[in-house]
Amino acid sequence: MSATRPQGDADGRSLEDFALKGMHLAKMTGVSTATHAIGDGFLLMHSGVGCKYKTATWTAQHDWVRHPNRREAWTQVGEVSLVKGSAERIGPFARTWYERRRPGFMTVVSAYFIELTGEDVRHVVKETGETLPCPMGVVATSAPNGGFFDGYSSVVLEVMKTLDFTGVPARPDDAAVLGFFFHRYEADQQADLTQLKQLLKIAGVGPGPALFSGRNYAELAEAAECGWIIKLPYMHPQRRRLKRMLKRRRVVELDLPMGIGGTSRFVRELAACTRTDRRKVEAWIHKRVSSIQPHLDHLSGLRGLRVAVFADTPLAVGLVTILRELGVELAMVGLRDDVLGGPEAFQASVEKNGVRLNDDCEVVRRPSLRRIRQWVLDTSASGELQAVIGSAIELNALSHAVSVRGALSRLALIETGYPSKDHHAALGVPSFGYTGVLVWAQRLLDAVMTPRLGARGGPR
Amino acid sequence: MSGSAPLPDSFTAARRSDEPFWQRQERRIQGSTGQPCCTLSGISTGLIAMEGDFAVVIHGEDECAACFLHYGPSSHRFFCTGLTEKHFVTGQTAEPLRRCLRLLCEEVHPSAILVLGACPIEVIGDRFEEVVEDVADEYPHVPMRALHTSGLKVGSQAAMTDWMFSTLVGLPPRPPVDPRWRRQVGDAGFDMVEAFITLSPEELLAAHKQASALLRPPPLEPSRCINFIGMPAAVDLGGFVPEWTALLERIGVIVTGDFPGAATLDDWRGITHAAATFVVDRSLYPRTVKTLEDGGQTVVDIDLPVGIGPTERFYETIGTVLGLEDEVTAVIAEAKAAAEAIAADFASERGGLRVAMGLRQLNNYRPDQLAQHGLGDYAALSELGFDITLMVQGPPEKRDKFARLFALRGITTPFEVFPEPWSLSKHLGGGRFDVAYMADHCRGEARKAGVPLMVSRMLCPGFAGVARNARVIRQQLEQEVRR
Repeated sequence: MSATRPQGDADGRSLEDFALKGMHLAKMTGVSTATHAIGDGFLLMHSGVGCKYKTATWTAQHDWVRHPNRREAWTQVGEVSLVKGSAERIGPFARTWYERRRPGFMTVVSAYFIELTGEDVRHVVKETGETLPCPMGVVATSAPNGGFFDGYSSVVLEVMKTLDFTGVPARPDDAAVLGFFFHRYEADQQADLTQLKQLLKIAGVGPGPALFSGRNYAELAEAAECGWIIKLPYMHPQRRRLKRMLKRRRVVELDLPMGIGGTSRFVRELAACTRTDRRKVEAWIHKRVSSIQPHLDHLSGLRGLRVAVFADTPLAVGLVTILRELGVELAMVGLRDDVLGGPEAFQASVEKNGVRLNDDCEVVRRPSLRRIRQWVLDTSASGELQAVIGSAIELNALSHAVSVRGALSRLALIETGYPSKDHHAALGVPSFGYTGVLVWAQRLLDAVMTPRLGARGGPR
Repeated sequence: MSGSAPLPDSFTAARRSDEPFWQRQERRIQGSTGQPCCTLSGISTGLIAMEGDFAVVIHGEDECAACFLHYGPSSHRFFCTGLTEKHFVTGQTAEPLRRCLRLLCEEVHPSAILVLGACPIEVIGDRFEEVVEDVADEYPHVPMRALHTSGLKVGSQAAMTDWMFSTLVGLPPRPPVDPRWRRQVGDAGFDMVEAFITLSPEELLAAHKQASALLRPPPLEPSRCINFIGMPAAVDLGGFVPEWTALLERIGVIVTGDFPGAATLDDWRGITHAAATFVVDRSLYPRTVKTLEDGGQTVVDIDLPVGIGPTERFYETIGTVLGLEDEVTAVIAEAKAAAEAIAADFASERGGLRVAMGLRQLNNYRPDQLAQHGLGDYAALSELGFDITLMVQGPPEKRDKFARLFALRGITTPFEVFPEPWSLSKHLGGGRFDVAYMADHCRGEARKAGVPLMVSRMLCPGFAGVARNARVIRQQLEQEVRR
């Protein structure tokens, strides 16, 4: 494996640094996605009109079950109100929207250009919160802006700030999950939550609330009653603050339970912390793995396929684990974020899951659409790539790249992650757990083995 | 959400104290029409959907590059200077832009570069156009344009669209190529692929020979060339292609540009070649029209050609402007008769259905949505026998203003004004309507009211569109009723 990032001149950035990335969605979009993930959350954007497009528009196409428009508003900041001082707008807008929607939690996010004026938005939100019957959180998009996942995890933190984690937990044997990346109300997300709950039980803890999981604030607030906290990698940007906040809780950091290795490791590591009977846990793992292994043994057609994956780091770890377990080779792994651990964390987690990347796989941090497109065109033209797994953004850049040679090489595009434009879930098919391995094997089979035009290869 | 639980006194008192704010707010929005828009978001949305050898630089922080959907054929042509707090606070915003522009010219060699500013850039008063001019002097063969876009100067979608169009029209011109020749070259490409997969070298060579006969495009006579601006895009109508390009070619009229939907950067640069440009609602595009007329082109206003009446007027206008009245009348006769029969059939079968037609609901920058105040489908629905009530999303106290606007367009249909889409079920319910023709996000409210919903602006243009519209409306009504 080689981890690379294109180098610019010593005194400046390269073109790759400037180019639009597969994940160029920033903090405000992450805040919006997180607030959407709270069943009765409401997002008030203290922003200009363009910021509206940073938020609901993405999720509106991604989530076919629940439209985010209904639960967000903006304070309509324009040039004049910016000059006169715009923070006074927050209170009236927050109260009006509270009265209309009666949310359980309200997030206020402020745009950077407003923060440039030096207004104390946080203080105004605090004052407003004193008049509002629901708790409020505030997230600024000024530096440090760690991007989309910084925004998502910031909202988790804001919800947690409204709770008291210093007392004795009322549910000492239950675990709250922090950093479940809940991005839509479709059946695939619900299926992952179900898998997660089952794994928690096997590992010796009762499932408490997951932040976030589409549940209402009142239910999420029960996290403070749980004796255990499971911290998933999406909380990485808030790790220092969480450490201070959760001193009185037993905290376990785990990777996503994906792949045979990843799922088994999730259960084993948690069970070791909870001191659950090891033999019982191993027997359960053995039984579950034995039940799926025969199905995987038949999938010889997948072995040796070469695939590129573009995903956020935790998801990339999971997908790569599954793919390697299926005998698939990785041509490139593009990590879409740069706040969830990076290539080092990626590689370490993959190895802990018991798989190894093939030596010629390139791991790239935040590749641009320009680079992805060119690389895929070059690679697929030589027939050395059979599938690309990525979000709608990466796949869009590829689907518009007309390449007859690429088409002839039977390149399959498989959409996953956030945002997904064309892939939606009617069935509750998970990516987590042992079942997730079968689900991904099926997705790969359907995409790669489907007969298509131009399969004959031309004159010999 | 906790429904309608009583509110605490402290909240009610704070709400009362907000009243002066809302009165000031109301004065501020007096006279505003349509959904407001961010020009960075709107122009980026337009450019990412356009094919061509260009580059777009968003000059601002990374946040700002998320204000438009990254879907479209040109997402890989977008760049962002990724400014941080350090740049804004110290005012050192020029160097990243200069470096980005130079790298683009050296490594990508685009035919044009558009630099779009973002809100923080406007807040600090950055004159980035000076950097753009400097770099343009270094690379005179690459046209560059600096646009002070942002969400701060809240403007209309129409003004934003006009700004983008006029900027593209103002790029150095290039003669267009004959679209018929372009299609022939494309077909030759497909023939070659077909030959390739036969595994026969002889067939492949024959295809090569056939293609090599198309080496140069034929010259295009400007007097027979026309453009359209503001037509519905095929991509928004499930790939529907109207009949006019094929019909007009039969009488020697060539459509050299269909803007913005099907246009590439080269199409924009070739727009002034044609004798005339037909614009759907030219009042939306004063800058663009002026640029074209200043260049000596005839610019003609047309209605959205959706429905039989508007489509017939559309063809008549083209015939009159080009002096081809008889030829146009003859070439459309068959298609027109077919459309009339279908419309009559539909009206007799389904006539009298009461439809609630939504207006002012969308912020998607589509010219066909913006045209004629969103009333472009009114005639088509009328011809199909619908009994229309207009449902206007907006401040109810502006009712008189909307009444004047409809009167000006000769529309006397009843109308209602509602403040927000989430209260729509109250207006749609009570058995008053058989169907709603509204934005997709109203589906939940329509369902709550028990009214089937057809998504607005789904009607296809031209005479061929009439058959498709009748079929799709029938299907949708049946499908929704089954639910």
